[in-house]
Amino acid sequence: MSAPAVFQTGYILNPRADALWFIGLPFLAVAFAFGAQAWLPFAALGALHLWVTVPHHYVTWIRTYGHQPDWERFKEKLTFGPIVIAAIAGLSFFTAPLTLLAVILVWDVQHGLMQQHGFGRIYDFKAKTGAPSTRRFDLSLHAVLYINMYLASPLFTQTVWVPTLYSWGFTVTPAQLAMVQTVSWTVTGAMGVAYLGHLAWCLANGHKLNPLKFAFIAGSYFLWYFTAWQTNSILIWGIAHRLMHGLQYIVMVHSYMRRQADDRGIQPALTAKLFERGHLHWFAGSALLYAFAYQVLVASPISDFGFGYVETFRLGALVDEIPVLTQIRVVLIAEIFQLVHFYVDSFIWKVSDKRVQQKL
Amino acid sequence: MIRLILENRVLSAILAWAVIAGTWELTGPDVPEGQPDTSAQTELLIATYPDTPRVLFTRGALALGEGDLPAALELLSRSYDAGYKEDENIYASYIDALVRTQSPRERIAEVVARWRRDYPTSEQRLAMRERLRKARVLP
Repeated sequence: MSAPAVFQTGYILNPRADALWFIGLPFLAVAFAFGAQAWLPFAALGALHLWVTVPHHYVTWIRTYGHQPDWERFKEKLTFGPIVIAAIAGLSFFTAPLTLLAVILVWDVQHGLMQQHGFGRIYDFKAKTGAPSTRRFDLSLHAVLYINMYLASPLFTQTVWVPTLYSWGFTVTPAQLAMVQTVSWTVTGAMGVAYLGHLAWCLANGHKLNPLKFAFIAGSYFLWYFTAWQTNSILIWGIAHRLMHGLQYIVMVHSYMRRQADDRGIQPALTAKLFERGHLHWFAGSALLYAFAYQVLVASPISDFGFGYVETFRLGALVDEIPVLTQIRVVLIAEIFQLVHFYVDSFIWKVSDKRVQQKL
Repeated sequence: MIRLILENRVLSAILAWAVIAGTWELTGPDVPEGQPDTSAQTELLIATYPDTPRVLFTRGALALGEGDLPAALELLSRSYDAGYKEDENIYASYIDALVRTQSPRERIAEVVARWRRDYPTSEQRLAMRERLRKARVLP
């Protein structure tokens, strides 16, 4: 008599694609980031923003504004949300700039952890694993682990939260800093125990587990924790994170839209063209074209594409003569794009949503 | 209203956070105007992480500013050897320390070469290279 199976696998895409994009990518991204640290100019970080991060915003717009069913479904949110965000960002930019930075920081943390949580949810959905309560345990685990990285790692202590507190006029003593980090680790440890307890409860109650979800979570946190603790480098952490976050997102959207194209077709026809089989170069080319247009819009050098090897030249030099307008373009517009991406992403990828499930 | 908030939970939470932070920034008594004084922050980070490449650079730059050349050379050297390159000023500071301590020209040339690799279009580097040439430190 054999023991009942504890594990049940399910893939986001398929075994080979998952091995590359979801399980292996964190390790490849770390290796690439180390290579960049050793051989590339510091401008590689900015270049990766253009080659990966900006295109991952673009695919969000395609998935919503450029995809008729989703546009019709979320029309109100997609119309008024960006207006509200632009208003908050504009008001903060001119009257309370630290507030804008605080909003970006908090939302960036939420966005970063929610993406990995979402992929984890897809793994459970595909494998039909976990219990109904697993969603909350997963979310809590991600929140605690991700925030712990910010609070306890040397990299983020030195570059993010301590400088942010000082910019707000707060002071921190070494004892207070140590206490924050001790509390953070204690909460993380307690969360780890609670999560293991939940897994044991799942098994005891006949709920199977998808090992790929745990491999995915472990790979993601290997990337973040290893680079935040061991390298202490914004360049390495930033490149590895941008590669993982951006590429996984782009791959996910492409797969989602491709399934839609195969099942029911996509409207409008221009968007459909990007997701037809054999049209990957259209998809990639349009994403890079978007990144080019974005760079012009935010009045930043096209040479940023060149990993620091290309001499700087700017488009829109006349506008650059007006400092406030330049500031608006370089800082405010760029931040609005980022914030709207965070916002849109917060409601279009609900794994519990039946309509989303159909195309996963 | 409550339905609207619940349907837009994330945006509502961010709005609330923006209102709290904005109110604090505009009416709070302790928010410094302009660039904050970073000396207390620097002391905290030096006390907490004395040997990270970033803090080694900070300590080295401070020692250089105070004229403590042996300490500056040692600290900047450790930061440089650890691969620190986030702040371009490390190259200028380290070269300054190397020149002032009459360190081997090969080491100076090596630092300039890495500066070129890490910041290929840097005007600061070009100016420094010119100064080093005039001082006959570099060919």
